[in-house]
Parts: sequence; C-alpha cells; structure tokens
Amino acid sequence: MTIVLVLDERDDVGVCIDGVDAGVTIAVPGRPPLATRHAIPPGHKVAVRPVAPGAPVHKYGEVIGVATTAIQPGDHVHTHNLDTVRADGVTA
Amino acid sequence: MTTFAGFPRRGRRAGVRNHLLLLPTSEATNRAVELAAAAVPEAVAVTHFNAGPGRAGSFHLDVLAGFASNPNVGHVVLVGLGDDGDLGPALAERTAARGVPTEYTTLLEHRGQAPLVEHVVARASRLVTELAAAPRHPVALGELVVGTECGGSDGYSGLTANPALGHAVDLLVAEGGTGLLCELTEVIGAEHLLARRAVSPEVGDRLTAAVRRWEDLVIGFGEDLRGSQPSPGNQDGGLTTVEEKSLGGMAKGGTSPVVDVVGYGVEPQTNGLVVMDTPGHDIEQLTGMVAGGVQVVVFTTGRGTPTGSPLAPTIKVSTNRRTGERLSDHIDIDAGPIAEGTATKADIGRRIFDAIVATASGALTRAEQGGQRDFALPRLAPSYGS
Repeated sequence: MTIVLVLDERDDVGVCIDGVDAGVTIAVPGRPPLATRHAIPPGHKVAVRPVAPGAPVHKYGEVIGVATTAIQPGDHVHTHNLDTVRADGVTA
Repeated sequence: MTTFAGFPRRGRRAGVRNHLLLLPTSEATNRAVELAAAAVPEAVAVTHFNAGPGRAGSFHLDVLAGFASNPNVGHVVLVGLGDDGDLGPALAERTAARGVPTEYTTLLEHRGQAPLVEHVVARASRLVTELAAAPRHPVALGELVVGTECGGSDGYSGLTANPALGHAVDLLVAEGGTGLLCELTEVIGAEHLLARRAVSPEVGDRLTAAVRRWEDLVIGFGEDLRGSQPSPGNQDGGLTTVEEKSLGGMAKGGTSPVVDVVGYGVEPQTNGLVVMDTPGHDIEQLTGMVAGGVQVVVFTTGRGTPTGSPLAPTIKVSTNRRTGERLSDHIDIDAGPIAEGTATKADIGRRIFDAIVATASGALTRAEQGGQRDFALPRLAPSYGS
C-alpha cells in the first residue's frame, strides 16, 4: 500500500513514504484519492492541491518555499518546481 | 486535570526523581567522587574539568549551580579540594539559596583521598536511604518542564517522531506545563517562522538574534550553515528547501506560541513553549536543559542512541520500526507506525504524553535501566589560566 503522509491540514504537499510510479492512484488520508502525474521517489513530496506559480507551498502548516511553476495535484514537488524563501529574504 | 506523582520542593519545582548528587567542585576530586559513587550505586555522580578564570569560569559555575539545583536533586554533596580555586563554597551558597539540601566537604579537610572517600561513602549511604523513603505526592503538570531533543536524525525524523513529540508538547502546554525547544543551529532558515510564533515582537527579536549569533560563530570557523542546506544527501531524500529541513527539526516543539527565549542552562520563568539557546551537540544540549531545570527529556532518534541524562529521565522515541526493534534496549516508544499508516501523529503523540506523565511519576526509562550518565559542559573558549 502506498502511504502519503500529509502532516497538517493546511498542507499543499504530502510525503510518499515509499516510491510510486506515475499514473498510480494513491490514497491520501482524509482527502480524495489522486493519480500521480510523475514517478515519486521514496520520501519525496507529491502535490495534493494545485498551487499557482509564485504562490507559497505549505508543509507542516508552514511555508517551505514558493512554486516556480504551476503545480497540479499528483505532481512531484522538488527543486524543479519549488524554491526557498530564505529567512534573510534572499532567494537562492 | 492531569497530575503526576512527584516530590514537592520548597522554593523550586517538584522533582520526578529524588536523587543524591555527588559533585566534584574541583578537578582534583573527580577520582574521589568516582570511588565513592562506585560504592554507593544509587547515588548520581558526574565529573568535569576546571574552566579557568573569567567569563569561562563564571559560565562553568552557573551551569554547575543549575545542574545541582535541578528539581530531581533531593540532596547534593559537594566534594572539593579546599584550595582557593575550589568552586565548592560558591556552589554551596548557590544551591542552598535555591533550597537544595547541601553539604560540602574537602580533600584538605580530610587529609587525603582515602579518608575523604570513606566520609563521602558513609554520608551517601545514609542519604540515599533517606531519599528513597520520601513519599510522592500529586503535582500539577504546571510544575513540569520537559526538554526535547533529536539526535542521529534520519529521513523519518521530520515525518514521524518529531511531529509526534510536538503533539505531546502541545498537550503538555495545554495542561499548563512547559516544553523546551533547543539547538538553534537547526532553526537556521526557518527562524522567521518560529519568531512569528513568539508572544511578542521582543521575544521574536531575541530569537532571531540568537540564531544569527550561532550563524556568525559558524561563519567565523569558515563554514556556512545556511547556504549549504539542505545537503545533497537531504535533497536525494526528498528535502527541497532549508526551511523545510528546519521545520522537520522544529516540529518536536509543537505548535504553541513561543513565550520566552532563555540562555544555556537558564531556568524558564514562564510556562509554555520556551526556546533555549544551546549548542547542537547532543550531550551538551542535554546538560544545558537539565541545568535549566528540565525534569524529563524526550529524545527522538533515527539511527538510535543510548543517551540519557544522569538526573532527568530520558525517554527515547525511534523514528522507524527497524531502529525501534534493533535497539529495543534503548528505545521506549517507536513512532515508525506513523510511516506505515497504522498510527497517526496524534496516536503516538498521546503515547509520548502518557509516557512523560508515567515517567514523571516514577516509571523508569530504558536509559535509566541501562544506567546512562551522559554529562558534558560546553566551553566558551580554550582555558587561558587556572
């Protein structure tokens, strides 16, 4: 069984504990199931909600960075579509 | 309202243990204390080395005074050389003023190690019997200060054990208790998120300033904690940004407002979630929390560790089932079921909370059963005198 951990109800992403292929329907506790649009490696994030480009991405109920492209539910979320908003205001 | 069965103290928080502490007040009496402790295994003893004069020396004295005044100390026997540099008289004054039954004895007064050890063993044997006979009484959770720590983190730390511990801290704070979040180097990159949870801009500013001091210190050693995070290994594991990594560590403090920021080994004066400014080293952090009056510690670990304080019972929470099973002698609670979908953060958080209350009421942790006595004092600088 594929487990997706969503750490806070405000979160846009969940964590895939085990890796999962693209096009697989996965169960998200407390939310409707969704289909992966990319392969998600073990421990990596999958979007559970759409995020607009430039909008904050939430995990732990907090902002972990901003979306650099449009993110769809089922997308792999990592360095290719998420960037830091560092405490000093500098974007890496 | 939840209570624990503790040892009420006059003028300080209640203890969850009623320890006799044997404490050298000079490095010259470390061996005498070791010999006495070997003869009276119920006593708690630690050793340490002189820190020299100046700020380093006064910091050393402050931390020892806090440690010896921990609520879990029922009586302290200070054992010194008896010369001018002996911290004994100053320490005795501090611990007695905090209400800790205190006695002080010296090598010079006993004219040698053998008679000194004989004296300490005789006193300790009598005291441990008296302390063991003291009854426990119901105490409100408002008197409990719980330290949080993580060590040997792995990819599961920020997903299972830390959020579950955070939930337990939220339950504790809701009941009027106090939780300590430490290790500010771990907050780098997310300090703005933590500062936003401060009860006032002033507390938030002190938090941010404390994080910056650590960052500057590390930069002084030619390293960059902010720019190098998350590491390539972290990224392979799925962590994308520095704030995401820091949030995984900070999750063990829960979601309560930050009511205060205190220095290393300083006792919090306000109940709620408090941040203590400590180094990242596991045992130095542990010692600082205990010097700050923490009665119980909860320690999350991915790779596993036997660590435990000599004074504050240390509850170990594994992040994954393999470590929980492989190091079952050292792990009290396994948070792995969260990653397996068979338990929630709230389920394991409640188990941790219940274990805190049971431990505070006398249940022994694995680290106590194993006799862990981890103690280390950070140094402000290399000693430049004696």
